Amino acid sequence: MNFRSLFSLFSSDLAIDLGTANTLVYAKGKGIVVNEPSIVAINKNTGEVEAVGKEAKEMLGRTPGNIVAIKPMKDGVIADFKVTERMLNYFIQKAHGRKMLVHPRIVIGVPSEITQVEKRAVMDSAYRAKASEVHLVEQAMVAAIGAGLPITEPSGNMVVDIGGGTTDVAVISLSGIVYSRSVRVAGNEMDDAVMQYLKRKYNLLIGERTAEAIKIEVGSAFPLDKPLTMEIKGRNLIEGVPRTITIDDSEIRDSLAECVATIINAIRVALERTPPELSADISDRGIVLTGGGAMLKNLDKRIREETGLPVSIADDPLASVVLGTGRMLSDFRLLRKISID
Amino acid sequence: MTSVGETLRRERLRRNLALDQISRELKINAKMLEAIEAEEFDKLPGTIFAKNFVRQYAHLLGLDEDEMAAEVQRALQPPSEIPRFAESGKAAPVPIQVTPIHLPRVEQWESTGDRGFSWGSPLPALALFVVAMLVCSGVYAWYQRTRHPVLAQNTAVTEPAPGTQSVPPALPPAPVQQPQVPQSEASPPAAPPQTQPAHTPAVPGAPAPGTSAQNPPPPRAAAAPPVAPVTAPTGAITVRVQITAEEPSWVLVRTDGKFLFSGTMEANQTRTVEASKNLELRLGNAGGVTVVLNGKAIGAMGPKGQVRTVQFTSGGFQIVAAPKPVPLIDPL
Repeated sequence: MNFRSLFSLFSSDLAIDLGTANTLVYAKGKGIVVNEPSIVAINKNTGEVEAVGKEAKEMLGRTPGNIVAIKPMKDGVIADFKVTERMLNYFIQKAHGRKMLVHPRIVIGVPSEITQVEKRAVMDSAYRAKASEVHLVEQAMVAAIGAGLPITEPSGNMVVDIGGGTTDVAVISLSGIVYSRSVRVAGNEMDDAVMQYLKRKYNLLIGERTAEAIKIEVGSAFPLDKPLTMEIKGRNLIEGVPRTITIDDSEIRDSLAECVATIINAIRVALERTPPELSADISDRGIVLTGGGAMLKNLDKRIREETGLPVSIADDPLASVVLGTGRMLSDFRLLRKISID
Repeated sequence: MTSVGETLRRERLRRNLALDQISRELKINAKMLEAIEAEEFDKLPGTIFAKNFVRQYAHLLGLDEDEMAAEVQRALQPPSEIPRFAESGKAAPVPIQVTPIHLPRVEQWESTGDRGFSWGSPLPALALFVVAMLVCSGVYAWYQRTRHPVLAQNTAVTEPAPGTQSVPPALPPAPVQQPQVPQSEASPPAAPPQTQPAHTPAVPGAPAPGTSAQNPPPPRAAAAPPVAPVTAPTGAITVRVQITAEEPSWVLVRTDGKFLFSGTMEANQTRTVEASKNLELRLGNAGGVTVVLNGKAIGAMGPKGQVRTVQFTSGGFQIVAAPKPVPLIDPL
C-alpha cells in the first residue's frame, strides 16, 4: 500500500469507460481528462494512425481512399482488437501527459452480458496499452455509482444505462447485482434506424454523423410539448444529387419506436424478475437513467408511462459510468467487491 | 425568497391541482410529494431521487426546474457534495460547492487537473525519487559495514578447521602464532579450556593470523615445541601424542574426556595433540597411522583397515577393545 501511494506520484490510476460511441478517461485526482469519440482514423497504406477521437470523428465518412475511420468498438465490445489497443494507448498517453514512469492501474467498465472472449480482449488490450493492473467492472453497476445511487444500502435500485452499443438494465442492492441484462440496442442502433427510415421513406441517404445529429436534435420517445423540425441534407437515391428535406419530430419518433420498445421491454423483463422486496423499493424510488441514450427527449416520460414508476435521469448521464468507475479508484475495497475478473 | 417546498405547494394550489393528480402524472408516491412540499428531504430515498423528483415536479408545474433542483442540491449539500468530490480531494475549489451540479463540474475538474500536474507534481516526485535513492544507498552502505566484521569472523572460524585437521604440524604459520596466542591467553590460563576455543577468535580481533587460535596452546608449553600444539591447556601437560599418517586415515581425538577434533588425515600429515591426564584416540585405519607418545615411538596401533580406540596416559597406552566391529556386525 505504501509503495502504491509512492507510485501514484509518478502515474495516476485511470478509470476508463470504453464505450461504443465515446471513450471517457478519468484520472485519479484530476477528474475526467479525456472525453472523445471512440473512433480511429488509419492510413491504409502505411498502417499508421492518422487521428484518434474528435479529429477522427470529423473524418468519419469524409475520408479519402487511403484513410479509413474505424469505430473499433461494436455493441459495447471490442470488434477490432488492434485498433482498440492503439486507441487505448493514445487515450492513456493523453490522460497522463508526459509523466508515465510507472504503469497505471486501470479500471474499465464493460457491459454485463459480455462473453469470456470479449472480456479477455478488453483486458489484453489494456495490458498491451501498458497497464500494470486491469480490473473490469459492470457498466450498470458503476453507472449507478456514478449517478449517486445509494447502492451499498440493502435496498433496491434500478438503473438503466443506455450507451452507444448496449443498454444495461440492472437491479442493484448491497453493492451487488441482483439482476442484470444487457441488450444490444442503444444509441448506434437508433442512428441506424433513423438512416433506414429516411432511406425508405424519402430515398435520402445520410451518413452516420448526420443520423446522430438528427437523433440528438429532434429525436424523442414520447410526443413533445412543442413540435420540432429539422432540415436534413443528404443524397437522393433516385436522382443521385444532394437534396434537402425537412422532417419533424413525429417521423423520427416513429423511426425510433422499435429501438425504444426494445429498451422498454428489457426494463419490463427486469422488473418481472426482481424479487418482491426489492420491487417495493423500486416502486418508491423508481428507475434511474444514465448514459447518452438517457438524453433522448421524453424517454423518461415514456418509460414512466409504460412502467408506472417514477423515472429520474442522472445529473450527467454521459459521464456517469466514468465517474462511477473513477470512484472505484479511491475505494479499492468496493472495487474488489464488484470487480468481475 | 421562499423555499422550494413552499414554492411548489403554492404553485400547485394556484393551479388547483391535488397531490393525487400530480402523483398520478409523475408516478411518484404522494407521500414523497408531501415530503417534498414539507421539505423533509431525508424522507426521500436519496439525494439523486430528491433532486430529480423536485425537478420533475417543478417541470410539471411549469416552474424553473433547474433552479429548483439547484436549491434542493444546496439544501442537501452536506451528504451529497462530500462523496461527489471526494476523489478530487483538496484540489476541488470551493466555488464548485456553490455552483449547481453538472457541466461546470467537469470543466472545473479538467482545469484543476491541468493546474495540478503541469508544475506541482513532477518536482516533488523528483525530489522524492532522489531522497529514496539516498535512503537506499545509505541502507546498503550500513548493511555492508555490518556484514564485514561478520565475514571476518566467519573466515577466522572456518579457516583453522582445515589447518588443524589436514595440516597438523602447520609448520610455517606456527612460529607466527606462537608469540601472539600466548599473549592473549596468558591472562586467563585457568579458564575452562573448552569454552575458550570458541571465543578466542572473536575476542583478540586478530582474524587472519590467529588461525590456530581455535586450539589455543597452553602458555607454558607454547614455547617448547616447534610444531603447533593442539591441546587444551589445563594444568601440566603429561601426555603428548604425535600422530603421523602414512595412509589417509580418519582420526578422532579426545583430550581429558573432551572432544578435540575429528577428521581425515592425508598421507604424511603429522599432528601433535596434548593432554594433561589422558588422551583418547580413535583411528579409522589403525595400520596407516604411527603414533609417538611423549617422544617415544609406538608405531602402528593395529592392522591396516582396522578401527582402534587407544587410551594414552603419561605412563603408556592401552588399546580399548575395538568396539566398533562388534555392534556393527551384530545387527547384520
